[in-house]
Order: sequence, then structure tokens, then C-alpha cells
Amino acid sequence: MSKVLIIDDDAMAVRMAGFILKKKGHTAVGAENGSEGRAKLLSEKPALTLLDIEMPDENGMDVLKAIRADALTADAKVCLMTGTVDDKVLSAAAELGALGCLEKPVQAQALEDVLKKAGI
Amino acid sequence: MKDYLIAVADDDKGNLKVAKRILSIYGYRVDCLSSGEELLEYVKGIKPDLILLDVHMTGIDGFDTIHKLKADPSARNIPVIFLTADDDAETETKALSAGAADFVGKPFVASVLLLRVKNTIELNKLQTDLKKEAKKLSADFLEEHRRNERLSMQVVKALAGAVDAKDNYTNGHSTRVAEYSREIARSAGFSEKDQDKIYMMGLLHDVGKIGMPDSVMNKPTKLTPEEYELIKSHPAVGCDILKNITEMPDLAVAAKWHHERYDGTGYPDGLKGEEIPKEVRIISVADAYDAMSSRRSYHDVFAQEYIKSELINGKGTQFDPVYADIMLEMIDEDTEYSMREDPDAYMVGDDGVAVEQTNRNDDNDFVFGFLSMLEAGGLDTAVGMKYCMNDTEFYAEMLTEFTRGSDDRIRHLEECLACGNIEQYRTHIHSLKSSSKTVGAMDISEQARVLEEAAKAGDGRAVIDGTPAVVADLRAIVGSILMAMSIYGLTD
Repeated sequence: MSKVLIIDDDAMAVRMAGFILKKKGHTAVGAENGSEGRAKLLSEKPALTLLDIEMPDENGMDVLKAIRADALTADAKVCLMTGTVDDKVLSAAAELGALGCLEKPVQAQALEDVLKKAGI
Repeated sequence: MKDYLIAVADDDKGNLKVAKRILSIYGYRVDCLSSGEELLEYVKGIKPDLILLDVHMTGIDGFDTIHKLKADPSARNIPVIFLTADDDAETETKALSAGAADFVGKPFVASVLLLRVKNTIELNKLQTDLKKEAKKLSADFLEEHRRNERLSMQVVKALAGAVDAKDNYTNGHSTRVAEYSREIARSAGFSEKDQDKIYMMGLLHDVGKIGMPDSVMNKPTKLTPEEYELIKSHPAVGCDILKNITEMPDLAVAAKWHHERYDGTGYPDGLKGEEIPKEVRIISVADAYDAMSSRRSYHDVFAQEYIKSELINGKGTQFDPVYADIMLEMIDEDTEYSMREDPDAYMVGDDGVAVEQTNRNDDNDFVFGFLSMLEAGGLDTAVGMKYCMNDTEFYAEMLTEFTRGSDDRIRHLEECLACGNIEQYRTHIHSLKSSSKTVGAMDISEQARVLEEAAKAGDGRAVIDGTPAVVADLRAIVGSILMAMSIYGLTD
């Protein structure tokens, strides 16, 4: 059983991913913006973080850059999420060392693949 | 100012020259024409912002010219100022009634000519803008009206779905009765508005069944006299439910009297012949037809020949003969026997694979009814269930979350529009795209996708024009979801 952090301003998306994780025997922690997410990354020490790109104020790419810039979180396993995944998003994700980018709404099989990649 | 084009028609070359000089100095573009005929030919290709027209010309004069201009729809709106040396009221009256906008006396005084030209062009522009605005307003009004109608229809259909879901044997009954009734009304020559009214009445005629116990409704064996009396109260219950819809009082009428018989032996009031409203007489025929062409707990689908003989026997006793005859004609035209309950029509699919609801137990019935009602409200529940891993409880949770968040979503979108923050708007509409897809609100998700594209492209106009529709649809679908959830007791 592992802990997964979900950073998304949309409560539905947090619950959706949380539900799938729970069914697979994991626990989920939610955060509704980048700063709350980074704080929980430090306090909760999740095995994986799911990070939404499209958030008001600070978007997911910027949040991920900040995570990488902080020595305490630089190595965190992060997978991005967005509504429309294209090559541009995937290459940006790879550049920032993300495990990939999930298409929203998140589906069980796709999430399971990410969990495998994260070694969970 | 220099964008404005003025056409001057005068057979006096000297006047043309003076007019052109004065107007050009002030930045107008000027085309000179030496007769009425030339002007009429000219406006076929070019639409100037203003015409200066001499009254007295050789060939056709100014009055004939303006009459011809005003008769041409493409040139009618170009304002015309008359040029005249006459100084009498008769010429002025004649010109104004022919549609002239103003006069300028000859010989020209530069300041007067320029002021009149400027005023006329501005006034005309103002009028054109006003017309456009009025047109847009009436289009907005129509759109709003159309949306309201769609909302009423969705709510009525959701309610009809709830009625049908209560009875194992009446899936789709209300919709079919509504459709058959509309068809009878159409053949009988009712107006389209009345046909629509009858359709709504048909959809809700059985709404009183909501108040009947399930054990009686779905009893496979014969009802006891007490149970039968109870079932006979559904018209009164239906009338009670619908009588508060004062905007459509006929809804309650159909619910109350659809078990009356033409010969006066029906219930609850024993109305006879034309005492029964004609809309209700139509629905009674359609209702009886559907009962015979569908499965019931006590019979299977009857053959067309049998149904026809029953309708013929019932003419003048159970049914109004006129409408029974129309139904008989409809049966004759239906050579494939397609007017009957379609057992495949009420399935809930997953991943495109249809799942037949055969071995229903109470739980399945509950889920099935709930999903049918959501479907009637416009959701693609197969998609929603797929995202929720076929877990109805979780689907209900996501629906709750979706309805709870909808006010905030709408507020965010409207705030972004109000302060012109398209980038932030894009984030919020993006989120609506995903979340509506999660619950199976595919239509809204698609609209959100289009708006997201528009926002990405910086097309503020498309965003502003498209947002009210998605907001209205979101409100409508949230209304349907809340209704389904409250009827099935799934609200907190």
C-alpha cells in the first residue's frame, strides 16, 4: 500500500483519482494548488504525485519546476495530468523528469500503468 | 472621415466640381455622376455611404431616381440628400415623403453642405447599429426562449422516466404514448403547438403512479378489489402532482381523466363523450394501444390484428370513434409492426457493449431506474459509469460533486469574462471539459472543448458568444441530476 498525492484545483478530479487508487489498495492525499501540494509533498512524503497542468494562478509545469528546484523534493516521482495530451506536453513532461502525462478524466488502466512505472 | 464614400449626381458639371472640391478637402471620397440613370447603374456595383442627388436633371429627375433607389433592397438604406435651388415647401414635402434624408440648397455653402453630410452619415450609421443591436437582442431572446423550452422538456422527460422506471412492465410507456398521441393529433389536423402540448400531456399522463406502492404496481397475479381501488386512485394523485404547474394546466387534465371512457363508464368522474377534453380522448386511445403492444405482467405483446379488433370494438364505447379510426389507419400503415415496445431500447451499456437487463433484482431495478432517469436528463451514463469503474455509488458521488461545484464553475467563467481574463477562462473551461465528461455530460464537454480552443486562439468574441449556452446547459443538466438524485433518495 502506497500513498499518492493528487494536486488538482478540481475536486472532482481529486476524488476520481482517489477512488481508483483506493480500489487498488492505496491511499490518496489531495491538494488544491501548487503551494499546498509542495507543502504536502514534504509532510506526507508520497510515493507518487499526480499533478494537474491546467490550474489557475500557478500551473502544473511551474509547480513541477519548483519541485525540481528544491533539493528536498527534487527527486520526487511526479506524473502530470491534463485534458488533452499531445507531443508538446509529453516532451515538456519528459524534460522536467515527469513519469508521463495522464489524460483526464483519469481512467483506471492508465493510472495503473503509471503506478507500475513508479514501481508501486 | 476619409473612409466615407459619397456619390454626387447632378447634370451640371460645375456643381459636381464644387461639391467634389468641398467634400474632398474634408477627407471624403467622392464619385461624380452626371445623371439619374448613371447613378442607378453605379449603385448596382458600389454602395456609397451617402448620395447627393440633384432634383432637376435631364433624363429621369431626382424624384424618379429616389423612387427607384428606394425600391431596390440593396440600395434602400443608403441615405439621400437632395440638392435643389427650389425654395418651396412643396418640393421639400414631396422629397421627404419619397424618402430623402435632408436638403442642401444650391449654390452650395461649404459649411452647410459639410454639416448636413456629416449629420446624415452619422445618423444613418447610428440607425444601422441600432438595427443590428435590436436584431441581436431578439436573437438572444429567442435563444433564451428555446433554452427554457428545452429545460422544461428535459424536466418533463426526467419525470416521465421516473414514472416508467417504477414499473417493470412500463419501460418507455410514457414516451410511446406521447409519440402516438402526437401522431394522432397531427393526422387529426391539430396545430403544431397543440401537437406539442399533447406530447407533453402524454409524457406525464401516468405521473400519479409515482404514488402507488411498488408491490401492487408489479404484482404478477390478479389484483385484489382493494388493490384495484388503490390503483384507480393514480389519476387523482397525478392531478394533485401536476395541478401546481399553472403554466400548463392541461398536464393535470390528462393525468386526471385519461381513464374516462367515451360512453361515460370510466373513472374517476364518469365524464361522457365531448365532456372529456379532446386531447385526453386522443391520449386514451394511444394509452390503450401501447398497453396492448407492450409486455405486461399479465400478457405479452399482442398481435396487430387483435389490437385492431379491440379498437374497433371499443369505438364509441371506450374510445372516441374519430381518434380510434386514426389509430387504426396508423396500424395499417405500420406494416413492420414497429409501433411497439422495443425490448432493446432500454439498455445501459459499458464500453459500447450493451448489457441486457434481464435478471433484474431489486438492486438492479434501482440502478436501472436511476440511470434511465439520468439518460432522460441528457447524460450518457455509459460514459459516466465507465469512468466510475461501473460503481453506481461512486458515480452518484461524482454527480453530487459535479452539481455542488457547478455554481462555482459558472461564477469563475463569468468573472473571467467580466474582467477579460481569457487565460484564466481557458483554465476553468478546460476543467469543465474534463469534469463534465467524467459524469457523461458529453454535450457540455464538447461545448467546453470548442470554447477552450477559442480561448487558446484568443478569440474573445467566440468565447463571449458561446459561454451563455454552455452555462444554460450546465444549469439544465444539474437540475436533471438533482431531480434524479432526489427521487432516488441519493441526496445527502
